Amino acid sequence: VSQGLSAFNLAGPDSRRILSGLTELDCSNDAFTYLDGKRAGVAGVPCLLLRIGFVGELGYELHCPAALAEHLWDAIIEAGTESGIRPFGLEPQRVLRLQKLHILVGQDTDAESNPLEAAMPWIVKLDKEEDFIGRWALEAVKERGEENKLVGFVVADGTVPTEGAAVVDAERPVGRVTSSRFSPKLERTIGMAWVPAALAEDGASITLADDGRRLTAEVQTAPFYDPDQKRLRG
Amino acid sequence: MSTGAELEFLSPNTAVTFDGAAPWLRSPIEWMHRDAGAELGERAGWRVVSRYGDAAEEANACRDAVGIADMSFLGKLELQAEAAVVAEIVASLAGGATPAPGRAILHEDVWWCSVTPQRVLALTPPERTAAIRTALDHAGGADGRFASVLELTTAYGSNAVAGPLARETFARVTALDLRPERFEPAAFAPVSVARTPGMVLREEGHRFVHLFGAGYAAYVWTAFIDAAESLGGRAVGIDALGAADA
Repeated sequence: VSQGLSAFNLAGPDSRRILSGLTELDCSNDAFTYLDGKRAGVAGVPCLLLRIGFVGELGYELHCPAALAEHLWDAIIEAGTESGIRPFGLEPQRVLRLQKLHILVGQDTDAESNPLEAAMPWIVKLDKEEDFIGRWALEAVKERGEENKLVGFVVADGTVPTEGAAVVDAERPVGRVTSSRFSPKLERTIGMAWVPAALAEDGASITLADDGRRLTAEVQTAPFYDPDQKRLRG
Repeated sequence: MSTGAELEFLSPNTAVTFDGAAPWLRSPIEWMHRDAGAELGERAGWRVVSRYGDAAEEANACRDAVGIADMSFLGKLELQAEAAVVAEIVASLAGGATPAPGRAILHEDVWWCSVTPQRVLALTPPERTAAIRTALDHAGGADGRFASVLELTTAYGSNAVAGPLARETFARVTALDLRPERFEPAAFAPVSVARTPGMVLREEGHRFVHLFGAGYAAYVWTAFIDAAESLGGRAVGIDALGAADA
């Protein structure tokens, strides 16, 4: 049904107020909690609403029949005028999600990745009784211990390394940069990289080999922005 | 069991007036029609292309060559279940007729198109989409059956290709054999058209319906208009389609 649905990401601190003006759904933080999903009309349009926060702010994904997308878009833009609402594209989404260390599957991970090493151990429930696809592989990782980890980093001199640049140790490649951007909000160059588990500690120094250059970066394991999730969950 | 209620948000006809504004249902390529000077009318909540300008020219194209019309407003409801269950449900809603691969059943303005023995696509006039969906939901959930009903109205784009050169137009974009003796009225085929997955229904005479992924609507429209214009055909509004049947 993908081609039949349009989807919008309404994100930002005013998103709840804007959404509330367009729907009878109770959008309060208690009634519509983070990671919850609801079905409701928005501006009269039947929608599936997901409260998620890929960009790291309070936000909602609205999925609706494509034939009604223009109406919904116009209604949202009009309702958000007082808040200074504006459309935003994929590039700012990439910077914003990187500030939160939200991974892009397929870019920050690959077929060899696993959630334990990709800094998402909370998503793995090895203690549940039911079997699930991948249990054996995850138990094997748990048993052998973490070899590599996906971490955030800040480049000391502000240079934005190429995505795919190598992480080197004694001039030997030991990892790779998966994402990198300059964050105007943080006024720093930030990124994500796979590094040996021994280097996956806050403050650890890593060296990036990028097009003949050597860049020094510092590891950070917590999100660069709103690490306490107050904006996201508030 | 039916999944209808859980996926009701897929149904565009469940939109309601809000704050005094009634949502219009729009074709995925309405912007192309507007750019082409289309006059837009209304049908069951949909904005539809009535004509682009000279109605007589469009009728002539359908009568003498080929006309391509955007029919995105057609309802598309997919029923999936075991073959026997599908046959039973379709028979109950289509006057007792039994679906057969390669064929479609017309009953009370609804086309029941057999994609596979386990999968039937109902093509409905927009005025009847909600009622047919409700009927399918009820039939699918009756007697402990296991069936799924999905509203795919906006997932598929749909064009009418009408006129004596409709087959020639299709011949430029698909290998499907549409000769009258091989593709009779009510014939239906899932097939690649313009190198995208699609379905073709021959309604009657020189009139066909082409279904395709809505995401390809602009591409498909461009490919068909290009083919039609090389044959003396053109884009037409729905007002002109009757001429193809005359």
